[in-house]
Amino acid sequence: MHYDWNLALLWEYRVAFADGLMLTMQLTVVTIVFGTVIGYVLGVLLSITARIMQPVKALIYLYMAIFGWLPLLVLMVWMYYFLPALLGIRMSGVMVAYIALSLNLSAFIADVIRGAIAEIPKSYVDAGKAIGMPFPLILRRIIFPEIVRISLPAMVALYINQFKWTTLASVLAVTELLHTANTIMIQTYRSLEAYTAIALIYLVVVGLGNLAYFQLQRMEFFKQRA
Amino acid sequence: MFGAHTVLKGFNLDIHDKQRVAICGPSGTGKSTFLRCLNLLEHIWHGAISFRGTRIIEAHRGKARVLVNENEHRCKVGMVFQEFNLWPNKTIIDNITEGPIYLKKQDRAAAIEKAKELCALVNVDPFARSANSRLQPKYPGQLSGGQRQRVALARALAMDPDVLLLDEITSALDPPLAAEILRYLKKINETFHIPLILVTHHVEFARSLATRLLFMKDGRVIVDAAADQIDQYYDHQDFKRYLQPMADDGG
Repeated sequence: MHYDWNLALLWEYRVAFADGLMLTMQLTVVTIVFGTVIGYVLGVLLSITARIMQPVKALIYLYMAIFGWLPLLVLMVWMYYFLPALLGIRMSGVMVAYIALSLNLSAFIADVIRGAIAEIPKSYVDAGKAIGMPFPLILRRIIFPEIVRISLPAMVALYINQFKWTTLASVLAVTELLHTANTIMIQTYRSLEAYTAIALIYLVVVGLGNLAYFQLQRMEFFKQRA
Repeated sequence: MFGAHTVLKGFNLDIHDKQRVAICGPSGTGKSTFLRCLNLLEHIWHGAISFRGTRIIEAHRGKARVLVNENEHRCKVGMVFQEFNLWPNKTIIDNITEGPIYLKKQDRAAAIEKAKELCALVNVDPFARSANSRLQPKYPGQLSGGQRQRVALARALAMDPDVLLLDEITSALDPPLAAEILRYLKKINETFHIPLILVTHHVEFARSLATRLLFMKDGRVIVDAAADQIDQYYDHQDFKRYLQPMADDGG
């Protein structure tokens, strides 16, 4: 089968692709920051064993069920179409994308952090206590670096997936990469060029992300030692 | 008390400066709990503990009141654990300097210098030479069990403690390594004049290190004697029963 590639088209729409990539990166970075902060707080709260925390933990698990179990697309559509009807809250598509992506990521990160904290041996904390470290210092100097080290592989996978999940925002008319390709396809009928271009962009960015991960793994700090 | 289980009962003990006190006894008799109570890692259920003439905790039927700043107290009470409890992802030097830098606010360079001196004292090299002859910091995983325990000792000493609490520190080591630790403990006690309180299963190990030896059973002190006079108590029923299996093993 023969197909005449129109590569000039890609150059013609370079600004649109760049803008789409820019918004995709913004969506990724901003939602990673918010999702990580919320997820860390929730994960730490889930790790507190005091009985008084039980109701709080039940609420966190409910939060994780709603925002983690719901398919992201359903969550986005629901927030965009039904929140205005139910609560009178009207948000732009891009705002819904920021919020839904952040909440969804935070639900998974909370679980990763809870698991990482559970993996830290109690003896590390005991050793800190025994020399007189107050708990905030133990948290900062002993527990937090361990959480970062233990959770790194899972976090990198979530962050790379987050970049890919941004494509779902296209259904809310957010002009990220996939939406850009859709628009170009409608205007030019050259779907193969448009989608191949964004596929290559995704491959390159995810490839760079993985490369950065391999470099991180080689750093002294991230080496796991027995 | 641990939950509903009473670990220590009617426990009265005065420990004086420069002493090397060893506490022996069967498992679950409350030896380690005693050390953890001294370091305020556990709180007593009833009674009081004084340290250097100051009451640090008093408790009445489960209501404990800590009378000092717990963390400041722990700074003065060095504790070494059975399983070393070193932080595996920190270098040997970082393990030793963590307390001095972040708690005692010592200058980093001075803390590192002191850590190197302590490493020399316990005969552990905190650096390895790489293939290109550069010095690389070592991590706990690169050391033997005996070396790790000596680093744990150095970490406790780096805080300039008033007393050293040693919780079964030779249990995870072979007899030659345990003997090595013994030599270093004597050296530390004689160099720094720090009293030692040692919890151990091994009566012979305790005898060769301690100036005073206590034998505990069911949370009570059964025997309390100078280490060189412990032979007189070998006829004590509980003590004899405890020593018998070791004698049968040729110990």
